[in-house]
Amino acid sequence: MIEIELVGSRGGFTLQARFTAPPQGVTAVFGASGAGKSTLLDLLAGHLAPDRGRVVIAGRVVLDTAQGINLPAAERHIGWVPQDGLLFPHLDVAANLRFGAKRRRQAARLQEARVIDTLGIGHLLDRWPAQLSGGERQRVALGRALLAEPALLLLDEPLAAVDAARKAEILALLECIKREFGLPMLHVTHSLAEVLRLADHLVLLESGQVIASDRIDALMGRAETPLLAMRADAGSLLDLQSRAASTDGEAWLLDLEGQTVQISGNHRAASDTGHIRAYVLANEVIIATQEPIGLSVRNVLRTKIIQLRNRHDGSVLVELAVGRQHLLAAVTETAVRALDLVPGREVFALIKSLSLDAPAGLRLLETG
Amino acid sequence: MVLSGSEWLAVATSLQVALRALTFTLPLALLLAWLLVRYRFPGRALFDALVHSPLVLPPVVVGYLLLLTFGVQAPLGRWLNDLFGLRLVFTTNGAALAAGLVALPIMVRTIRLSLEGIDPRLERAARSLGAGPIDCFFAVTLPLALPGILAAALLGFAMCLGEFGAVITFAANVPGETQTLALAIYGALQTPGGEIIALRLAVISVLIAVAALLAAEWLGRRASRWSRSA
Repeated sequence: MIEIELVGSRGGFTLQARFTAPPQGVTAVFGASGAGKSTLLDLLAGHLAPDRGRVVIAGRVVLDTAQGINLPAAERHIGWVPQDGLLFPHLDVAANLRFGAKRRRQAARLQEARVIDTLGIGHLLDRWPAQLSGGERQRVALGRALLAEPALLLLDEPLAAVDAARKAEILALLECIKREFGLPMLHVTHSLAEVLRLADHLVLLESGQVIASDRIDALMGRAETPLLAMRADAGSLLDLQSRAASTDGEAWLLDLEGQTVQISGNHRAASDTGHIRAYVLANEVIIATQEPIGLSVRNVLRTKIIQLRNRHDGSVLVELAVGRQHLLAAVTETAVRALDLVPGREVFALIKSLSLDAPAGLRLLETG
Repeated sequence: MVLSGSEWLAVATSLQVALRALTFTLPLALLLAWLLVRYRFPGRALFDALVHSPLVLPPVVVGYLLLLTFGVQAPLGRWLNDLFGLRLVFTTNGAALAAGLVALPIMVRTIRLSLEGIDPRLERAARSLGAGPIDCFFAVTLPLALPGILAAALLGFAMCLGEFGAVITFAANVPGETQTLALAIYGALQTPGGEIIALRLAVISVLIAVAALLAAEWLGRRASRWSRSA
């Protein structure tokens, strides 16, 4: 478990953050700019002195102001990948990669060759940072941090300095690192698309306070989740499982809590684990009180209304239960009255196959 | 051009003075620049002004103040003499001290500029990769500031070669001890018929200065080879 409790201020801004993160996987810290994300990172990494706090990573106390423990940055074993990579300009790529590895006290668990191979940077080893593109720099920065074998890896807006075409590539790489190396990562971002693609756990930060911290599937698809539910791109994250006989012509059939969901086959490659994450925008879900016929929509799910919540823009967010998973639909107030949508009522949710066809976040990434 | 014995002596003394001056001013300038760039402390403005004072004081005043501090009759000078047998007035070391002190502010400024050009986040990155403060300084800060440090060394060297007022006031004009090229030229000009010697010494000064410039240029280019982009 990673326990984080930090109070600190910088330039008149005060951060008071308290949350726990799972010992494995990606914890996304999501918030608008000015929410305190970089202050949180600087406090965690030991670049900024806290007013008080306690940080425990895998049982190791890194900071505990009550006990007078405050390890310097060099001894925290917290890796830091800043947005622009920050490679040492006076060292070539190979020397950059070895910078942390050389200073590591415990025996190496990671093979350098494997990291270099995973990141696809073998051909860059004798180049200088000034000769690399933004994406290449970010890969090397990731490798440098990984090879120091930190107990926690901080990713500070890792896609902010990468051009749009490279974003999907680096995201796929981060997914790969998450699978391959099994070290916990704290991913700070203001991009919902990145959260959807990578995060297992989500921490929502607003005005220097943690307003929610939970598993991502417990926060997505909930009408009451602060910050997220009010956004125009609010939606739900569905966990779809592929079936044995999974094709029907061009379409791909998946299981959602015992019901069949059909998506077009473009992203079959994303399913090597058998699970795919799909993000469905609330604005793209239609509610019907009777099972519709003669519609082009392929996915008609039996659901039950859990709750309704009015949004600032006059729309109503309807939270639906699909088995144990949750689905959000945005409808107008008129529709709520006309259809008599009330909690407990069973309704049909209609989702176009096209709304499901991309891995989570990819569509948001491509359009935004 | 073949140099006479006394001309060689002046060249050797100049190089001695300048090199000895650099051995203490360069680390000192680096330390002072580091303090001024990275730390905010009470009295920093006064400290800054004090470091820069030799730049605005007449060199003769600097030499005179040194005489008041390190002279044989002065408390500090007597203490150094009694304890370490170190006499500064009228010695090569004294000339180096006087010349170095006058060159110090320019060196601090030059190093400071290059330190300010280093992204402090690079040092943070080094820390988070396990480098302690000293390790971080030698592995990241120092190499990145190297072009600036070399430039400062060159400037300091050139200034020490040419320093006149502070050296003659504090260390006098002793051939083989404190008589640098500048002092020797002055001496030659005071002597009837010494114009030719003065001219020859002036040409030597120019040659040394050009050689130092070329060497620094070459070193600087080697030191910053990483900044070459694709």
